[in-house]
Amino acid sequence: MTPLGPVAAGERAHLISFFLWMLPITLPILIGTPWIAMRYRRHGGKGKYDPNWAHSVGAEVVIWGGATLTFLIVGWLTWGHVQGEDPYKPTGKDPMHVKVIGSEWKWMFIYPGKVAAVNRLVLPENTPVEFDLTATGAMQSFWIPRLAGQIYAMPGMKTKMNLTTSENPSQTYGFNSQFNGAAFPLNKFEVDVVSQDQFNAFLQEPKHPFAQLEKQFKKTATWSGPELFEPPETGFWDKVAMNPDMLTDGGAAILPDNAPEQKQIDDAIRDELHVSQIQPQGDAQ
Amino acid sequence: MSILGSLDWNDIFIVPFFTEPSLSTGIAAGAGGVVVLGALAVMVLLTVKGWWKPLWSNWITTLDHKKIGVIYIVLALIMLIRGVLEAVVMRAQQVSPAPGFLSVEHHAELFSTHGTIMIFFVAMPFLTGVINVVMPLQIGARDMEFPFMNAVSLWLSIGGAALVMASLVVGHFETGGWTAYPPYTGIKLSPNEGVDYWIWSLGLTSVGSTLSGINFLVTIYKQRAPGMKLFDMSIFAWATLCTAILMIFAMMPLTVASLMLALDRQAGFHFFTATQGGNMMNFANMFWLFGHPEVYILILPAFGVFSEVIPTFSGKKIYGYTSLVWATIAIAVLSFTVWVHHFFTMGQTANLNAIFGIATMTIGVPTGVKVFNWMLTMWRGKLRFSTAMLFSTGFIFTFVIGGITGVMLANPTIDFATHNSLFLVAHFHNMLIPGLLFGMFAAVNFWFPLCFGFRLDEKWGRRSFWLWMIGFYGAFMPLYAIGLMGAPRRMAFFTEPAYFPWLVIAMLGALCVLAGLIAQVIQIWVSVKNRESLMVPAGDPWDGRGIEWSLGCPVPEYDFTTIPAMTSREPWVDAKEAGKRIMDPTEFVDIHLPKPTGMPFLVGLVATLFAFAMIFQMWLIAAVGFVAMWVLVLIRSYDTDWEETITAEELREGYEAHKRLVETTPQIRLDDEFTTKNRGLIMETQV
Ligand code: HEM
Ligand SMILES: [Cu+2]
Ligand SMILES: [Cu+2]
Repeated sequence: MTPLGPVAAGERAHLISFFLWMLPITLPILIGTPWIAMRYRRHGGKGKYDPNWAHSVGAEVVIWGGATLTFLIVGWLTWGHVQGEDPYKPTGKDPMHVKVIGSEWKWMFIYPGKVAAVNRLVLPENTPVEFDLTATGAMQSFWIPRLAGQIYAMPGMKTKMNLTTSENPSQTYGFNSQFNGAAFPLNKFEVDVVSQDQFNAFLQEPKHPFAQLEKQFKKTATWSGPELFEPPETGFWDKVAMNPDMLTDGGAAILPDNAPEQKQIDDAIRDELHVSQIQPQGDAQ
Repeated sequence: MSILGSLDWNDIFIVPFFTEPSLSTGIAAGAGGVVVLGALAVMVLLTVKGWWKPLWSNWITTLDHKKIGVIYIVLALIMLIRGVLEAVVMRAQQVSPAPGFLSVEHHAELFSTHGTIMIFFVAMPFLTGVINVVMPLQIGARDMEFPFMNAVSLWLSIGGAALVMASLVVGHFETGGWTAYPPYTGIKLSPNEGVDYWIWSLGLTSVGSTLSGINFLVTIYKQRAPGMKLFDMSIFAWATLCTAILMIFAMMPLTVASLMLALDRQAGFHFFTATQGGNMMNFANMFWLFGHPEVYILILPAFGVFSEVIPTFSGKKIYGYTSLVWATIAIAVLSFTVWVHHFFTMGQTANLNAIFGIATMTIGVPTGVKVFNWMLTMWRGKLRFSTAMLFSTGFIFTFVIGGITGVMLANPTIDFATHNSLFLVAHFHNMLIPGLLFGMFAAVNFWFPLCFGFRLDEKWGRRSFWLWMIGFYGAFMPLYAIGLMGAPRRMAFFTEPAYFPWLVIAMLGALCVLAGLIAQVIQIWVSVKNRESLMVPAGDPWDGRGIEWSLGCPVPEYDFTTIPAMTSREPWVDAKEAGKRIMDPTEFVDIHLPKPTGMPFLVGLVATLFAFAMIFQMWLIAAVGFVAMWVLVLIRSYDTDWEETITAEELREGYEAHKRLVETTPQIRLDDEFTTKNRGLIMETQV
């Protein structure tokens, strides 16, 4: 996973550093076990046999000491990492705000006072962004792997996630990683990081009325239709966060046998697969 | 509402296939068919062979802890076969061209039943079974403290498993994974009976496990042989003690959380719905308040097994007994303090995450110490690689890799990037397959003669080990890789071409695991066929160390003719070193054992009926089942004639018979332990 932004890069660095810090205490086991197995095997092993050797102060000190020391190091590092990379802490001055609502099986992004979008997240390059997350229906996990780790979006609750976008324009994707029913594999969105000019142009693109979005968004279904809408009145996101039922008709995520929605989902899956054949998401390594 | 509640035609397993034929519904119908036909085949076999009666009188009605243990293990093996087959189907689904041959929901049912089955109906019965067989024998007890309750626990667990099997035939299982988080599992989003299957099958076993925990704990406190101090107990008994405490305290939050979910679903409560003042984060907290200690319930008994197997096959005392005991206690205590690491991503403060992350890492200290203890036990030993020892060595090596990734996941900033990914799936399988299944396999290979009197075939045992070991690496190392690339768990199909080669390797690995499982079935079959030549009637076929090896194989119903004198931590080793081949008897006295009774079976049966009725909202039947359950318990409580006596004379005869057997069994060398010369009582002779 090649990180595009500093948060994901930090996470990757921690991953590597932790792996390396674990080696001093684990390599002796990984090498020692096969070595002991060879050396002390009953037939042909060269090791000395000492059936009553069952305690050694030196060994105890080394074992408990080594394990404790490793723990102290990784524990200390953890404290620093967590404080440094608190997803609630803005990654720069005056982050741009995007309000997010997850639903079965689509995402709404509200750029307050400017535009609302579905399944399409456009962000200016090299900019700190703060996402305010909530959901209707099931709990979701909001994740853009190449930019930052995930945070849950839950109905009736508000959570936050901060990140800084890539230095240059880039394309990636985000998705919900928490299983939520029949169209879970389709529960993803495009992420375009663009130049400031392009971003301004994006805000000016033609829009559909918000009422249309609201009506269609309530259905338990995958999204098909326009992506850009007029923004809702201010405070809309907070209202949804307090009362998630206002943005859902409450359909089932587990469809009864022979449900007509299933056909739509099957079609959407076929569509999706077709698209991804032409344009693979190209995110290997 | 009809008496049959919400049950209708479409719930019967083959109907959807006819109304909407597809590969997905076909597989569902096929699986249901296998269950029905399998059940029928077993019944026909029992009838033809005339085995109903012996089955009833020797097994179903038994209160003998060893037989109860065996039934638990058989249950675990049957469910393991289903769990592994489901895993193979999931792997096949992900390598077939997207969107694969399963619908998203069918795939979801598969990972949900796989997870639920593996944890609750493979791991739990397996370890409960092994504890049942071994622990009383190691502490010099004649049975559990509460033999009747022991059997009730068993039948409740079987009832729970039967419900999960029934979900293949009638209706659906749930799709929210083994964790079943609301609001997804609430009535709105999951309106069918699947979640209720999850709730009630877990309800039955979790009550069973709580009772088992109480039973184990009280047995260890009250039934130890006179003179045996806690710090004289085997490490396995210590592991049992800690596991039992975890079982008692950890199952409760699960039972409560699942019953609250049931109230939400069927009685209009709002514990976990956001709109009416409920909060599903409480479910996550309660679930993992159970869930994290649970993983130590799963792992500690296996740690105990390794601590018995490794010294035996190293021909050496266990290294660092005291260290090991304290490490076990530390793990048990700490396991209650870390549950938040399962949802670092739920938006709590950085400090809270950091504290729970660091608390999680503390568990690495005692766990690491234990691993070094096992290594140092092998150090300066004379290692014999029996099947049990191979599984133990394979465990040490493989488990450490899971430990590395575990500490990585405990760092919240790393968890943000790996939570809900296949990296996590790889991690927990990396802990559970070596740290649980390998331990249980080692236990079966090691202690099998105690129950059946003969050894298991070594050749097939070793083959099964290598297949499991290679299969594990094949199946899960690729998941680490694609997990880091951002592949989420529970995904029915991937559109990412870069994942494909890894998924193919994982598929081959899963097939290799399946081959390992088949090798184990063959191993049992071959061993039963050749049981005459594998017989070890004099006991102690591996120069064992615990007092369970001072008994003849199979161990008689009353376990000990006289309760052994505990003069040291390893009295059997002392006796052998003093040149004895049988422990000196203490005092022969009349003993009382509970008579076999069909009551626990009936309690389990009506409890299962109750649970099934709750699933399909057949309130009347549920009420009848619930009342019947307690009536049966009451009837039993007033039964005064429930014991039978074994006289001191019979015990003395048992002792004499065993002594004669021991005297006529020729002494053979340890080098011959895996040959047919081994008739028991093998010893290291100076060669
Ligand atoms: C024997 C070889 C095994 C294989 C090949 C295997 C394979 C799998 C697969 C493919 C999944 C679904 C992963 C996903 O979410 O995409 C899974 C999930 C899981 N497995 Fe296994 N598994 C095996 C053994 C076990 C064992 C022994 C246990 C526990 C004792 C276990 C516990 C679980 C659990 C708890 C889940 C998560 C289910 C969920 O998402 O809720 N598995 N396994
Ligand atoms: Cu929440
Ligand atoms: Cu945990």
